[in-house]
Amino acid sequence: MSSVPSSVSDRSTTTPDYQALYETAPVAYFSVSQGGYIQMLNPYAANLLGYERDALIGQSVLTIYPPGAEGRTRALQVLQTVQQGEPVEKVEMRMACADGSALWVHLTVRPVHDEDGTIVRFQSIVTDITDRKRMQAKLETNQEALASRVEARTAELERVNAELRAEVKERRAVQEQQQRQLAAMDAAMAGMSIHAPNGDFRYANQAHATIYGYDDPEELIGASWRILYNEHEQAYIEDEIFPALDAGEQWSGDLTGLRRDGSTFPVYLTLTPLDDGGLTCICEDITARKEREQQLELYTRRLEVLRDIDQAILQAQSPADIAQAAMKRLHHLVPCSRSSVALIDRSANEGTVLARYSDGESMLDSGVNVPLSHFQFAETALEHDLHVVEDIRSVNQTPLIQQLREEGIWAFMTLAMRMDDTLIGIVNLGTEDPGCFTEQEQRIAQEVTDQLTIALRQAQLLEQVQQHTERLEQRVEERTKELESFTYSVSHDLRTPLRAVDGFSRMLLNAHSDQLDDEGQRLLGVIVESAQRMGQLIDDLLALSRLGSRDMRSGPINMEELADDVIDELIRAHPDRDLAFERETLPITCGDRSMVRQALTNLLANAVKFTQDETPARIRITSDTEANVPTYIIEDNGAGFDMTYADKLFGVFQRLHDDDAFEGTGVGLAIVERVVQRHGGHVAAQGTVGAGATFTFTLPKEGATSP
Amino acid sequence: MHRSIVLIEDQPYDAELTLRALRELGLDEDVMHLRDGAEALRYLFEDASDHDTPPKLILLDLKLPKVSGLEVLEALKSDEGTQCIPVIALTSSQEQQDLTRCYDLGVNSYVVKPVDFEQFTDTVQQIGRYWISTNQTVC
Repeated sequence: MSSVPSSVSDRSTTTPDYQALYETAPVAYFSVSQGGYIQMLNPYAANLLGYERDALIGQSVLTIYPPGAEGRTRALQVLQTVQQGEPVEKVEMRMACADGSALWVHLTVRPVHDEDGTIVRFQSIVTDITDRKRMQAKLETNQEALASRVEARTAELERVNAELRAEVKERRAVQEQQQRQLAAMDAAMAGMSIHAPNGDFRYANQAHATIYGYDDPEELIGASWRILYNEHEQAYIEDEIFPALDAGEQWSGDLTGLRRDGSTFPVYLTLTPLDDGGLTCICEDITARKEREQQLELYTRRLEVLRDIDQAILQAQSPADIAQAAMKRLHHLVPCSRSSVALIDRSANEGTVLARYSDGESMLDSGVNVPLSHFQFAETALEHDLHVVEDIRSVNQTPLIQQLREEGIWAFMTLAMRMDDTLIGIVNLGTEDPGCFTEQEQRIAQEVTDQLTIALRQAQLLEQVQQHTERLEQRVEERTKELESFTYSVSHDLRTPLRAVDGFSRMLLNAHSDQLDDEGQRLLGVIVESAQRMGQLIDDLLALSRLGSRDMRSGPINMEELADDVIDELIRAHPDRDLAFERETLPITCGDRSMVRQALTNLLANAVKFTQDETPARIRITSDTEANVPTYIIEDNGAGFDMTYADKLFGVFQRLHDDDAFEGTGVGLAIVERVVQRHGGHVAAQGTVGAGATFTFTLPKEGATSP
Repeated sequence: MHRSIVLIEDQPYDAELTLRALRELGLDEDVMHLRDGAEALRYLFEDASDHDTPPKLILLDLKLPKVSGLEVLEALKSDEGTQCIPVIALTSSQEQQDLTRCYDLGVNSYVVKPVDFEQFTDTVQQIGRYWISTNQTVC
């Protein structure tokens, strides 16, 4: 029944039990000839690639790598490496399936040597990692998409910023040009007057009269300068300007002028003292200039708000944080006493309030889910990007509107947040002044809303990626739990029937042996022995699986004390043996005490077992003082092993000796390897048949942090 | 009728092996075998007045139908009338979580059933000898 080459004669492959395991193991095994031809594979391997098992036997390994130069080169590289005797550990490769599709796998290949050290074949293990790769790729794509969106957005913002800066510059240039032109026309356009020492007008030109709202300069002659300024400005002029003029200095600056009709306006004055104690005045209405300055300030603020929102995007804050930041800035740009941002989910017919401001104070009810009907003008937002209600009295007086009226709100602006033509949210602004949202303010609100929409979308995307990651982690945790509960069932449920098999067979042997002939008794003996071995196997496998899931408790370990302890235990357990242990100086290590003890016990018990035919059995524990990490060596003068199979020594269920000579389950060294690897160390074995074995393992230095 | 040992075990073969081990000590006649947690609670609480004195030893499997061994243990150890009865968890489980939980609930001893027949017999007999002959109880 076995297709295993007859050169491998150890029981690990010829005993039917192990053959069955090989046949049913959920791991893909391939055996490949020195020349790279598949000699055999297990059903799982055939199934993984979608081939009939026989179809692959005798084929070159290149058959199962993807076509094309790259796959072939990679496969050849691996083949050359192992043909030179180097093992290959878990390399990532692509393999081709029968149907032409490709899998991502981890490939481990170990050369198997004959007694002369010549490579006779390769053992390889293949693990399917396609799903893991796919998940990883998906996450990476998501992250790349996010990064490129942020990048694109940033570039766009920079472009907009540059445009705005250019516009500001252009306006400044225009302004400067206008000023130059005005200077040229000064004589005609500027207001000019001459005042007596008491400040009364002696002369005023037409422009001066016009600027202050008088028809005829004659109206000013003989009047006091005071009629052109309010009380506040008069006091300022007397206290701050006159002293300078009295000292003979010229004064220029901005003041607020008072027109004949009572209105005020900004005015630029240049006052020059005269020798007789009077003064001359040149004045200019600078209303237009002031407006331009305000405009510039507004532009600057817009830039700041856009930059702030941009920052929020880059910092990937939560949607609520972004919305609150945007509303806070918007209040500086658009006069409103109330604002809110809400996300809308039309399929669920509800919305989530992200931020609410009232008179600049953040209100606490953000994050609440409320039915869509509670939102002002949500329906309007479906059709219009921007909707302004100048007078609240002109719309349907719903309870909500009435409540707003009670709060003193008179005008409204509702802005739609749209992403790919879908309404995802609305921004509402309310103010106490009716009809006061200027065209410019509407434009600013629209601009901020657009930015906010993009920022929120980014935040949503980020949240989705995070949720996806959390789901993946949760699945891993669930799987681990499942595995743990499986282990638990094995420990309990398999033992109970085994106990019955063993117990009742024994009772039969003990109480009814007179009814059985010799062969009958022998057969029962086989049952008893097998039951006990299976019990041991379950215990060992459980110990092995616990090693994987257990938390490590790291601390310093005195290896000399530990070794002495284990040695005492072994001597007590084998009173009939002549055991000569030699324990030399051993360095202190750092690790999980009970795990290291288990490994040491397994190695020393192994040495005791394989020296059973030696008297005395010599077992030496030494350390490699040259190595830079603690390195321990255990030597014995026992049965040894054939180095050809050294790579199999640490595999689960791998045994190099037949059962009649040395009992065992084939798990002990697998546990040793697992313990040493969890501590970040490695273990190796050297042996010669009939001349003993040497095991070397490393552990972390004292005080090392756990791996 | 009064029995000094209560064996709570759902697996008939495990029960038979246990009874057989106790028979060699002459204790098997003294054993009340109950097959699940619910039956155990009925016997130890509802029908307690039918027995002259409480049992001297309870052998408790943990994985039981209906009411688990842990629940039985909790009931026994949280009742003034029964908390002093020695309870030995006799189970196949050597999971740390079961051990910890049992000792938290106040189990008197925790024994993992050996798979090997002779070891099993020996273990059960050790328990019987110690808890029935050597140990003193207050109940």
